[in-house]
Amino acid sequence: MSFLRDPKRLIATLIAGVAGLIVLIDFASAVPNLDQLARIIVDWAALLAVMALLVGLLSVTAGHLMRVLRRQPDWGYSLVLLAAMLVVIVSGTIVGLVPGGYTLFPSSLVEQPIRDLFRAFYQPLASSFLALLAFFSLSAALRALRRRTADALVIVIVALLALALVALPQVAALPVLGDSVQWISDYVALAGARGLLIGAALGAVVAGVRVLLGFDQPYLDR
Amino acid sequence: MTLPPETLLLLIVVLLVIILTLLHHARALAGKRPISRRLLPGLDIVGRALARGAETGRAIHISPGSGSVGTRSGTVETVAGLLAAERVATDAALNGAPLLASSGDAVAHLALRGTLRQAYQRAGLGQDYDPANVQMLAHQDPMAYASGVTTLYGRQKLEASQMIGSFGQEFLLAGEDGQQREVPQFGGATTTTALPFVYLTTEGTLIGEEIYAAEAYLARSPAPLARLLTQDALRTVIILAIVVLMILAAAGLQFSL
Repeated sequence: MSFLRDPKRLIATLIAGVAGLIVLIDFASAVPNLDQLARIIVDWAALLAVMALLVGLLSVTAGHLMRVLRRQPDWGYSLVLLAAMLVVIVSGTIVGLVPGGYTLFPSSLVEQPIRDLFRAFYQPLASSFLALLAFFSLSAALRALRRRTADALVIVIVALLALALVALPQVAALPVLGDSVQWISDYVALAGARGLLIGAALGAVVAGVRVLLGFDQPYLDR
Repeated sequence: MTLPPETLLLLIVVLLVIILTLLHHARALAGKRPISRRLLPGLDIVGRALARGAETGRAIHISPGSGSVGTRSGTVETVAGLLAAERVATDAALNGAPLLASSGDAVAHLALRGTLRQAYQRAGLGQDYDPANVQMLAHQDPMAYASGVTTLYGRQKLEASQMIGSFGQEFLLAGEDGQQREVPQFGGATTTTALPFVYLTTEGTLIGEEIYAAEAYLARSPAPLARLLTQDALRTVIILAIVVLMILAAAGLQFSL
């Protein structure tokens, strides 16, 4: 059914379209009253994002609580997640441990308790995952070599060449090899990357205009 | 009020795109001239998975990525992923194939829930929609999101996994795990950090602007094909502009705004 005949969809489309146009025009030029209105809309969007985060938090909590209560497979991990969530929320908002004691009602998330938690737990885990990428890329490269498709072989060979040039300066100093790879990087690879960027930008512009005009409505929820 | 030249150019471009969008939408709805389209490799993976999923009862995983709606980078890719997810959800609802959706951001999570609920309702099967099948795995933490996807892969055998949207290097974590577990994967991204990993770990890849076209390919009605016409028209304009500017530059003529 056309959204012109459906009041709910029409109102949602008008709100999305008008708000989007106001922000777009404000981005394009500085019109005094429009500037203020655009800033209000952006502030409301930020507030909605915070509400979305709260809803997401409740959704995650409910889902994992159900897994624990029903003793579904891997319910232990859900318990760890819930406990960690509780510790971080309490440390960041009510009371948190600091060297020599504790602090009540930290004023921001960059205060000592949260910083210490992130330094002790989050940073090592994040670094570990990043380190895993090296092994995963090796595994993906070996499988690509086994598959022997032309495109995958090109990707792997170029990646190995780039790795050799970075890891071994002596290879980069070779007269023909170093210059050739530099030329490929400055012209061929850059041209490809720019083509990709232009194509993606075109697609993004069309997608954005279609959302503004109401042809695509990913924001609807009825 | 005088507008700077860049502002004027931007508004003219937006107006041109609006006019083209409306014209092509009308053409697609009229259906007088058939709209031809080239084959997008790998899209049939999703179709086959939907048919198999209805028989085997194994879920199809869909994800718009770890990006957010509202940030400068990642919004449009996430929207493209949401639209593709909606098409797959509509077909899954009609076929009776179970779905499992995941996202890496709270706003995208809500949008994904609404998109899937809308798809089931449009298919007339609103009662089959289960919000527990739409999971928020992380919030604005791509690596945590990817590790959440690997957990989903390990927890249950999946018929296929469609990951189209905003991805970075974290795609390798999820994609490689899916390959090792022999999950048929279909991915799409626009960033140079993600695309090599998508290509190496999936059976079908959408490169750059193709992720915006995926929704039109997956749709059952002809109206979304208007998007392809508009993108093709704009691409033609850009190519002509590049060629003309190249000739002008070669002739020594300067052109500036």
